[in-house]
Amino acid sequence: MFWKVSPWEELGLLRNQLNDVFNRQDRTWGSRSFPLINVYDTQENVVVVAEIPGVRKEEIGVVMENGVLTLSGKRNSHLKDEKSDLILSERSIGSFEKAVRISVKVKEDQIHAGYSDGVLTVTLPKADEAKPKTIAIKVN
Amino acid sequence: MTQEIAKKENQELGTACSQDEACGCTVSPDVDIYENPEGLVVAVDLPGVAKEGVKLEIDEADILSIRGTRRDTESGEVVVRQFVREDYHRTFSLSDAFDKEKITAKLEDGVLEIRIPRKEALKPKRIEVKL
Repeated sequence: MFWKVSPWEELGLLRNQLNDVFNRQDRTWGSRSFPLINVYDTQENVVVVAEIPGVRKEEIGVVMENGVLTLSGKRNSHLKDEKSDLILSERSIGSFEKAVRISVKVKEDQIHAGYSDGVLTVTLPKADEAKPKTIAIKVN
Repeated sequence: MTQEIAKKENQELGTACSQDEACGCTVSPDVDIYENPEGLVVAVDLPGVAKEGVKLEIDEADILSIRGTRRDTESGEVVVRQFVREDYHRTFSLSDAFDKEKITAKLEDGVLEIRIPRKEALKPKRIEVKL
């Protein structure tokens, strides 16, 4: 197999990706917009987790339609009422909406969500036909 | 040879920091800093951190240190990963203008709000203009 990218470029890319993850301050990549989302696949569920610190529970919207889970909400400026100058701003504010395509069949009426410490967790239980099936091996 | 080295680095860094075990790395949390005549207000994003997980300290060198330990857990195979579940750490150097004894903080929905008042003597004083 040919080496298409030079090793130096590869290391540079890796360093940038690590900086992105550890600094969290560089959000110039299109997909790395607020909020950051992780998706997990367990035997029983698909779990979507979004980091939305500072968003009030009443402002959060979770909608499942046509196999797409849409998370939406609004984050206000931390100090809305007090007269202050914002001298450093790294936290994004305003409305957000992120859609995640759920590629496995889930039991839509059993989807539930929890919000704690600024983290939204949406659990989508898999439909029985979507769960992995263990195949028994018969030994003669 | 170089291909193997690059791949090994990828794997090592991948296993160290993308799995659930703490790798000793910390993430620098995003902050907003506001300023008014009373002092500074710092809002720190610490998603996944509960009150018991916050450690806020100031040392004799006037370095304010913010640490947060996450309590949320994750399990299952990772399909998409945009954030790592590492602890938070960030420091700021505070100038003499602020009263370190009077720093207060509160945590709500994963945001730590730190209030750093100015020293009384250094607050701007309004001068009455009499006509």
